[in-house]
Parts: sequence; C-alpha cells; structure tokens
Amino acid sequence: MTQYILRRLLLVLPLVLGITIITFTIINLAPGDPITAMLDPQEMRQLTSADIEQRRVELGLNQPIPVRYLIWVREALHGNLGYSIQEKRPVAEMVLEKLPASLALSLPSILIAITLGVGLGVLAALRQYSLFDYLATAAAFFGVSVPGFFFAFMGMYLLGVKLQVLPIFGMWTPGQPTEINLDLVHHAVLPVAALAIAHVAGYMRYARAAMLDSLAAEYVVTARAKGISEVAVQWVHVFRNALLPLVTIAGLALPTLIGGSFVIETIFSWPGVGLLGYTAILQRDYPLQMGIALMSAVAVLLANLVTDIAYCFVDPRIRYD
Amino acid sequence: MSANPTAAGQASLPTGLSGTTFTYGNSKPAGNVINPLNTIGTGQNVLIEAMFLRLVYGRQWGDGQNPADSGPIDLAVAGAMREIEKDRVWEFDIRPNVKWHDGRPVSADDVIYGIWLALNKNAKTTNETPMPLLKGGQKLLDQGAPPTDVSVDGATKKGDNTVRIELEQPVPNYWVNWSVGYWPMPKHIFGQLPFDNLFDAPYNTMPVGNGPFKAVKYVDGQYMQMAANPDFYLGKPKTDNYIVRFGDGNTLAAALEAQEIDGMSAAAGPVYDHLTSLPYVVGNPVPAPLPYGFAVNYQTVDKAAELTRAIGYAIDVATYNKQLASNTLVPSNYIFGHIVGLETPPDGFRKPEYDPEKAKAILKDLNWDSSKTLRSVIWTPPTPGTDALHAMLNAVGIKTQYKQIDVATIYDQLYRGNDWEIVWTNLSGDQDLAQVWKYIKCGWNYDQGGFNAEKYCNQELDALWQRGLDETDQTKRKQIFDQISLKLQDTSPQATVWRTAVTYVWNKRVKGAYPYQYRRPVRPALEKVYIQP
Repeated sequence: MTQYILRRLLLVLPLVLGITIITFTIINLAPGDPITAMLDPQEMRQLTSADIEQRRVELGLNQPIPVRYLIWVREALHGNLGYSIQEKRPVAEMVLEKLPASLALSLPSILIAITLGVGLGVLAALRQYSLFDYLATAAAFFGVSVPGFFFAFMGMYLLGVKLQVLPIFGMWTPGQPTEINLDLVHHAVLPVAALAIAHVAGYMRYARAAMLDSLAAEYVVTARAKGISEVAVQWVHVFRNALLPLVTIAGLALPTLIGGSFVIETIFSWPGVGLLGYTAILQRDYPLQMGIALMSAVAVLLANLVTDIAYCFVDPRIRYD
Repeated sequence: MSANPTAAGQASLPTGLSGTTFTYGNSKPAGNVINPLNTIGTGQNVLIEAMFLRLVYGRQWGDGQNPADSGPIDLAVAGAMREIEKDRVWEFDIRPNVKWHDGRPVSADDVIYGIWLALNKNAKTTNETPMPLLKGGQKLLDQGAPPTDVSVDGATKKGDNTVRIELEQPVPNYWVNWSVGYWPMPKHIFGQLPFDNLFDAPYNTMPVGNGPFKAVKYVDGQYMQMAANPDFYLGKPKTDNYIVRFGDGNTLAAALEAQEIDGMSAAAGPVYDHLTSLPYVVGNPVPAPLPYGFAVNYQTVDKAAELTRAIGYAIDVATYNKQLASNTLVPSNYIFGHIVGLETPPDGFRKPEYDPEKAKAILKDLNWDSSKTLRSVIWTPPTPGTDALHAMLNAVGIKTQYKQIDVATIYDQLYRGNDWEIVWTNLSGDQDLAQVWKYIKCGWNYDQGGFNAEKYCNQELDALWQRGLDETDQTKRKQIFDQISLKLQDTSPQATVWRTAVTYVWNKRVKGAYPYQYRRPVRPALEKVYIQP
C-alpha cells in the first residue's frame, strides 16, 4: 500500500506540470491583460498608452508566454505563487485567507448532500416502484436538471425577499463578530442549501442504482437463502457493496472543498475561493488565477488518491500491493 | 491611526433600517484600495467621498445635471478663499477645525503634500483628475520627484495655514473644473512610507481621512463599516454608522427589496421599475453628464458624417426612454450641456428629433447600400436596450451586427484597433474642455494620449477649439464653443441622443440621501443623511 501511495504521489508531479502548462497558456491567451482590465470602459482616462506599456514591462507581461511560465514554475517550486497583480498581496496568503469561507460552505453542503442523497437513494431502492420511489426519482431528475444558481435565486427570493427569514447575502451581519457563530450559520443556510440540492439528486440516483445492482446480485440470494435477517442482508451485504461507486462520486466532490463554488459564492457575495477566482478572471489577475488553478489541480489529484485508498476499506477484495 | 479595526467591530450593530445605521450597497472597491490617489472605479469613490474631503468643491449642487452656474465655491478643507489674480492665483486658508481621523489637524503641508503626491510620476498614483494646469505640475507629471523634495511651484505655503495656488495661465471656472483633483493627504502618515507601499495595508482599507465618517472595520468582499466622525467640521453626522456592503447588482437589488440595505444604484429599466414599484422604495434618478450616442468610425465608414446625422434621426428616444429606461434619460444632442458656462446651446442649434423619414432621406442621398452590415462593438452581452437601438437603425435601413469584445480588450480593439464601424459610447462627461477635446481632436488616438477612437478629424474645428481653450474671457469663450457646436451638428463623431442618469433607489425611511456624484465637483453631504424612525 505504501509503495502504491508513493507511486501515485510521483505520478502527481507530471500531471500537475501538464495541468499548469495548459492552464497558464489558456489564461495568458485570453484577450486582454491585467493592465487593460483596470480600464473603466466608460472613461479610458486612468492610464495612458505609455502607462500601460510601462506597467506591462514592470510585470513582465512583455515576455513570451513560455518564459513567463518558466519563471512562474521556478518561483512556485520555491513556494512562491507570486503576487496578485490587482491587490499586490501574496497569492498563497490570499487563497489561504479565503479557504475557511469556502470550507464553511462546501463541507456542510457535501455532508448534507451525501447523507441525504445516499439515504434517499437507499430507501428508494429498497422500496422500488413504490410511491416514495417515484416521488424521489422525479425530485432527483428535477434536482439534476436544474442548475444550482436557480435554487440559489429561488431561495433568495422566497426565503430572503418574500419571507425575510434568511439573509440575502454576505457571511456575517455587518458589525457582528467575524467568527464561527450563529450569525454565520444563518447566512450560510441559503448558499449551503443551493450547493447541496443539486448534489443530493446526483447522489440519490447513484445510490439507488448501486443498491439495485447489489440487491440483484447472487450473493444476496445466497444470504437470504441462508436465513439471514432482511435488515442484515440490506445493510451488511447490499449497502456495503453498493458503497464502492458512491466512494468514487464522493471523492470527486472533495476538490470543491478547496476550489469553492464560483457561481454560488458570487451570487451570495460569499468571500471564498470561488468568488476570489471569479474576480481574478474578470481582472485578468494571472498569478491569482494560476494559484487557484494549482491548488484546485492538486486537490483533484489528491482526492483521486484518497478515493482509491478508500476503496480498500470499503471493498476488501481490492489490494494495491 | 485612530480607527481600530477590531474593537469597534465587536459591538453588534443594527443594519438596514434599524436605528442609526445607514447601509448602502455597492460593488467592492477595486484592488481593496480606498485612497483618493488610487481610484479606478465607483466602488472606491463611494467610500472615499465618505471619508475624505477635498480642498474645495466646484459649486453647490444646482438643478438638473449641473452644479449651480453661479455662486460661491463650496469650501471644504479650505475655510476661506481669495482670488489674488483673476482666474490664475488664489490663496486658501485651511480651516482650523478640520482634522484627520487620528486627531491631527489638516495643515497647509498636507494640502501641498496631497497635490505633490497626486502629480508625482514616481508615486504612481491614479488620480482621477490630476492638475496639469498647475504651475510646475506638468514637470512633476513628466519627471517625478524624490520623496525628499516635496514641493510644487504652483502650490506654496503662505503661513502655517494658508496655501497659495498658482496656475500657468488664467483659466475660467478653474475650481469648477479642477477641484475634483485637489485632495489633501495626511503627510504624517504617507510621508513615512516608501512610494511602493503607499497603497498597502493597513491604510489601503483603513484609511485615515478627514471626512464625515471614519473607517472602523473592513471585511474583504463583505463590507466597510464606518462610524460618524464626532470632530467633523460641520458637526457629527446624523447617522452613527455608515456601512457600505459589497455585492453584485442583482444581489443588491434583492437585498434592497428585503430591506437588508437602504440604498443602491440600480440600472434603469426592469430592475429599477420593479424596485420603485415597491411601496417602501423611492427612485432617485440623478442626471449624469455623459453624452451618449452611436459613434461612427471615420476610417472604416465612407461619408461617416452623413451616416452619423442619419443615425441621430433614427433613434426614437421617447419610446426607448419610456419602455426601457424608466423615463430617466435626458434627451440631448448638445455635447457641452454639462459644462458650467456652456449649459445652453447656441441660437440655431437643431433640437434632437426622431424622424425616420429624414434618416432614410439622408441615406438615400448617400446611396447607402442597405445590404451592407456595420459591425457594432459591444463589451457586455446584448441587452433589450442594445437590441432596441440596433433595431431602430435597422428600421431605417442601417443593417448592423454585434461585434462583442471582452471588456479587457477595449484598449486594443476599440481605441487602437480599427476593425469596427460603429459603437454605442459616450463622448466624455468631463467639465474640462481640454479633456473633452481628446475625444474629437485630429490624431488623438490612445497612443497620443487621446480617446478619439472614431479617428474623427476636423482641423478647422480643432483650431477653433484651441482658440476657445486659450480664451480667458468667459463670454468670448462661450461664443467660440457655440461656433464649434454648430459645426459639430453637421459633422460629428457621434450621433448624440441622450444623457443617462445614475438611478438610485432608496428605502423611503432614508432621508436626505445625497449619493456620490459620478465625476462631479460636488460634495455628497453624507452627514445630513438620516433614517426616519
């Protein structure tokens, strides 16, 4: 197992390199640059042509993309992800500063989505073709088909604007302590729900399908023939085997813990990594975009590794040594 | 620094309409910098106006889109002003009771330091309107000065609390035009910092200003909390707290409807109409100075002047205004209407007119090929408004198609590039005629320091314009710009049709709201705002 993990970690390096090359190239090929992004289209007077050229030189933007990439890699290897062009602060510091806000949304939303989605999926499978199964399936199709931002706007409108029971935006009420408290929970309800709903539907469909596959397996027939209680058959034999595909799906959700949600965080003005990334894209803040991309890429690769390791625990047949 | 970023934040404040807190919604300040010498957008200016004071302000607010065209300059940091030489030299006495938020009095040194810093090339400030007409100002802009040499030829100290401002030449209405650039800055703070750190923490988000509100707490991406300045020279503001919350336009609109914020600027049209239909919301359109219309690229379109005239007749301003702009537009085809001293067009100036038949007649005279498609540059996705405007052109036989570009490429694609035919844009809302000229003058493209994206050129008009700028007598100057206006009627880079309004919406319990005025030399009197219990 240890060797396997080491091999996988070694594989991460070329993958990260490839991801960063592609990301860096695409980011830098996007029209405009951080300097022209500062110009107000209503009035172009803030920077003269000479100012723009001078600032491009100062930031090294006049260099060819490969040269800039190599400089970026050299600095990244020394732990320096660069400085945000717009805010002139270290990228790593900015991302780490926003990470708790993203975690405050993504962690509960993933937990809720997994718990609720898997629970509903299992129940739907156990009561296949019942009214509950039909209702749950219909709800799941709705949840999968409708984008998260729709739920966000609907929640905002119904619970925030009309009923006024939940705040519309922000992480804390201005003036309240900016720490983990009930005010934070109150503000998190809508964005967490908006993030969770779409995932609930997905997990439910996967759980239902996996459970039905397991229920139809021959070892279940054997277990029942042995006279094992139905509860034991369902939870020990069926559910455990159904977990394997669910682990894959849950593992893929882990990177969102780091990367945040660009859309939901923007809608609710939630100051996480997602909102930071969205702003960085609009402002053509290359170092910040690369910092977030790198962290997200590493998160995806590590999540895959964690998922693979988790297979061993949920399925004893799998061994990597 | 007097403002404690954490202590005051511990107290739980009511927000929205509760008690003595005024909550405004706006975009986040760009780059997390709140400093008058580093501004690139409204997100910063809303906060700057609450925490900083200029030396003086152009005029008191008048009716409509302009400051009053007569009357005294609105004094702020300066308590008295004397004209020593007509339109060229003045002396300002600094009020003894204007203090920085850390308790230090604002001094003549601070006034000179602010001017020097704003003009100093080495400081890399981004002042909205530097002061190139100030004596010695251009030298600072061109060459810069080291931190040890805080001096400007045209801004000198005459005693501890008096500053003398001297221009290179007399300029009528100088303070109406240029007061927007004169920000005293706390020398005792910024004078200690290297130029590279002027806009860094902690002063970037916790500025020490001299305005009616003091910075208390800045939460990145969330809000700026400010408290009433008890030492404000006009008395403590009526609201104890002023909070500006950051969000995108749609989220803020929902927050206003939910009464989480007290005011915001909403785009005219459906959102504004919806918000103002609520029983507890009132609309407050404030005319903006920017003259809008379709500009035609003179290099890529034959007979651009005639086409521009046809476009002017093709736009049904009244219908657009009623159906898509909440009746907040001010129809106007006169580009100098926002400039003090030039508010009224000359005799014989044609009034704006919607007449599609006239448009068609001009196009017929042009032998306009109605199958020809003009590429119309836009940098935001098409809206019902842009669709309507282009449909109006199509209705008279001017076929168009959008050329959508990224906003970050305007510099290259619109101002320097030439691969387009028309664009919906403004022709400068600046008070200063030298700045307006940059949109029209021959050869003044972006690389020459101008904004003449249309590559318009009329040397006769340029000669007149130069004469107008050189003329120091206001009456004669008006006559020259009247001639320019009449000439522009027949050959103009833009078919100007209206001026927009900044459409504010307030909860009706907000009284005396006096919003930030985009690029206007008028002080928003935030100390007068209060919440009716």
